[in-house]
Amino acid sequence: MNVGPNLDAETDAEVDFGRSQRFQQLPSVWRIIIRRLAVRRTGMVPFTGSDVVNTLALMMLGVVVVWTLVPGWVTTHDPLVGDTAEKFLPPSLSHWFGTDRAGRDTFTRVVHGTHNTVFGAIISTVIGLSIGSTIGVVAGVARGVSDAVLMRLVDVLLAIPGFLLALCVVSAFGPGTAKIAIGVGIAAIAPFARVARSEALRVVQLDFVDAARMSGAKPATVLFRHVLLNSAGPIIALIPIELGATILSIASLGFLGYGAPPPEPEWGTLLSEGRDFLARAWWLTSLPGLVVLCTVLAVSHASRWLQRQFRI
Amino acid sequence: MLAIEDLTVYYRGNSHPAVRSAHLTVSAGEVVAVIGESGSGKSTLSKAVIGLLPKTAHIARGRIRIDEQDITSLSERELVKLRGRVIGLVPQDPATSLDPVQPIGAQLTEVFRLHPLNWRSSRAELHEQAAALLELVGIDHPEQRLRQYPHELSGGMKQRVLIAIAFGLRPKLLIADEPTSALDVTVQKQVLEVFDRLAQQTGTAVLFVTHNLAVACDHAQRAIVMRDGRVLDSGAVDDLVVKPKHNYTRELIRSAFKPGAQGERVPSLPAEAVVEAVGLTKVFGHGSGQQFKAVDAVSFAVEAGSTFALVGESGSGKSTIARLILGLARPDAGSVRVAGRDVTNLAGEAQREVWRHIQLVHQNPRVALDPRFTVKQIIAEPLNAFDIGSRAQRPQRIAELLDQVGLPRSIEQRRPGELSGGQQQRVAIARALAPRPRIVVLDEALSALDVVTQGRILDLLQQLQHELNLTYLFISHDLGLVRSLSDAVAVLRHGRLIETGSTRQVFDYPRHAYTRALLDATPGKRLRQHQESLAALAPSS
Repeated sequence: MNVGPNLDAETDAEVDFGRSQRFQQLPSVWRIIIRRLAVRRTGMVPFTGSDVVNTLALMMLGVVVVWTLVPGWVTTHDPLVGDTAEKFLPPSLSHWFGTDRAGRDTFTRVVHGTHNTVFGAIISTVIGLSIGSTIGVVAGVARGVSDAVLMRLVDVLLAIPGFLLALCVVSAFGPGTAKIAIGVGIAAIAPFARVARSEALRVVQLDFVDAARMSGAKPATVLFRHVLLNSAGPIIALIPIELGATILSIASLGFLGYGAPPPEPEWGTLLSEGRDFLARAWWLTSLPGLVVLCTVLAVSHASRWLQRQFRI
Repeated sequence: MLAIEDLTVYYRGNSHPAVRSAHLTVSAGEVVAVIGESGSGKSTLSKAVIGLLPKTAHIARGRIRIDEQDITSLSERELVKLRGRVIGLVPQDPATSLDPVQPIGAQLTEVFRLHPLNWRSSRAELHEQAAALLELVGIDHPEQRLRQYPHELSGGMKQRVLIAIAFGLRPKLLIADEPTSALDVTVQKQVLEVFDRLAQQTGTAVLFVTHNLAVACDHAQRAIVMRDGRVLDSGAVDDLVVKPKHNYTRELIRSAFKPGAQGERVPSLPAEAVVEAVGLTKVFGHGSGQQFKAVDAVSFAVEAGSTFALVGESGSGKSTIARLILGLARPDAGSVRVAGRDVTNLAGEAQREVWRHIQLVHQNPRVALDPRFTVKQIIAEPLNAFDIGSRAQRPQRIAELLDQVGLPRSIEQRRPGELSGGQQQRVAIARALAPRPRIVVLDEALSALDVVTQGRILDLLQQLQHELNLTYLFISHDLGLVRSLSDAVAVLRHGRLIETGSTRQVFDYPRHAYTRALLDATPGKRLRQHQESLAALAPSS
């Protein structure tokens, strides 16, 4: 069925959607819904060749969000207490990821562990975002000595590997997901500061910043309402990149044993617990590891897509 | 040579065609101008001829014939063979159209290397051909220029290099899309003369796209006027000017030649000087210890209620002077007095206070308005910051200001991105008027607008000056606008004040040679002569 050129299309994605054979076969109501909601809003054509990966990434992210917020909906088993009679069962229909040495369902532990890891990653990213952006924007607007001093501080943060910095914080203050999150967050300040400063440097030259000063706005107002809000684009595009990196850092620190104390599930600790039984029960390490891998890949893919939208 | 018949072009997403039933012919050796505002479809037309329409556009109807060959439905591969050899394109912005990391010589010879003729020329031959091209377009020392990089050339020279590149293979048709809109007036004249010379000497057909009727009249033999995709008027330029068939053409002609303001203002007693600049100097250091004097001992005084214009080409220091007077930059020497008070080198709160009395309207309203604010927030900002009136009164004041600048109240909730250039500039003017200043600095405030919109905003500014007794400091490079708005003029060149006096004095009896050159280079001579002859014939009203 040939639909012809879609004169109503507003974007290139819609043009591709109109041409795609797969969609010609859907009833027209569905075509309109998909076009208006999915395609026009996101610039993606779901389920077609070019955007399969984008769709998968979004689905994975959706799944992770559900696991973080409402783990109880997804599974019914108890993550903390298990039936020792059922230990070391391989993956099956009743236990999707098998069971561990205490008979706990691994899949349930992964789902409940998402909460710790992802919340920790979100806290780190928020720390990095808020402190980093403020430093960056102030440096970009103030120029001169303040700029030099602030940026040298950021250089120090960049020079120390983020992982090592988080380790130092954790060694100083003791283990625990919150403390890991703060440590990783301090390391995440540097990229945000750099990006925020370069955007602020560009925005501050635009006429409306001068115009706001001349309209009598105080310097702080000019900074936050005009410069910061208009520099937001690339900073927002940086968030998923940092989120992916912090998820990985927190899982790694958990793997090393600095995370939540047992029996609290957390991705890193799950991986380290299963390490001892790799020969006997491969599913204890591999399957949670696969989940971590897919999450970080999904986040990084989403970040690349956001980067293209904001053209960093 | 070029024949466009019944061309209709649609962009995806618009049911309204960008170009509708356009007819145009250009013969060899002829210069034809396509005149229209932005959005009229003139650029789409020129891109369609050379086959550079974007993917989202398609030609629904019509034919384009170059030398009897129909190119409307040619594939990209065949069009590539035509471009450069048969059709040349001179792009609009010389600043961004040349590769900054290649010397000029390499970019010129690229055309020859891409379209090799029967034999493969040696490097020396290519070099000679490039030098000959540069001479043809009137660039001095062609051998030296070939080794230079684009940033070492001035804007006019870059544009001439672009013309040389387009002309390199002696195409039969040369398309120029607004080739001089980014250039100064004197440079513009030189570049346009290059086109005239090329058409006369080599028989190339030139298709000229412009929004400036005056430029088209001076240099084209025939012209078409476009609006909203349609061709309204077409014919010989003399006929268009003398007997315009369409109302829009008449409006364009009227806006292009703006009536003088003399006779409108009653000469009153010499009023007090409300802005005084004494010996202003600003020096910028750049490179290794080199210094550049942007402003050199400039002094002038602006009387209350009048309009004082600062005229000069780019690099003359007029924008720097505006910033010095407003306090956005600190002078290295000299002082500024606003409303009787010395405002040089103020800081912080004191500087903010000065901005209650003097405000600025920028050149480009698109960057002068915060894109994230609504119109209401933009105008409310000075009201809130300067704490003007009580909180309850502010919405009313905003509505008043919108009425004053001729905008509907419903525009309050829109963002600048949704407004046209003229509307944006009106919002900027309303914002400038919010703290009820006595003085408004207009830094090229009309230069980024279309000719017709310029006329309307000009009328608005004159009306506001009359109603609110404002003093304007008008900075511009456009002498036509200056003539119609200002009472006194100062001519600047390289940071120095060359000549100053009342508008009539400077424009009708210029003393300095540079002023005479500026006046001479202003496009629209034919229009002016025509208007003058009309005025001479008709009895004065």
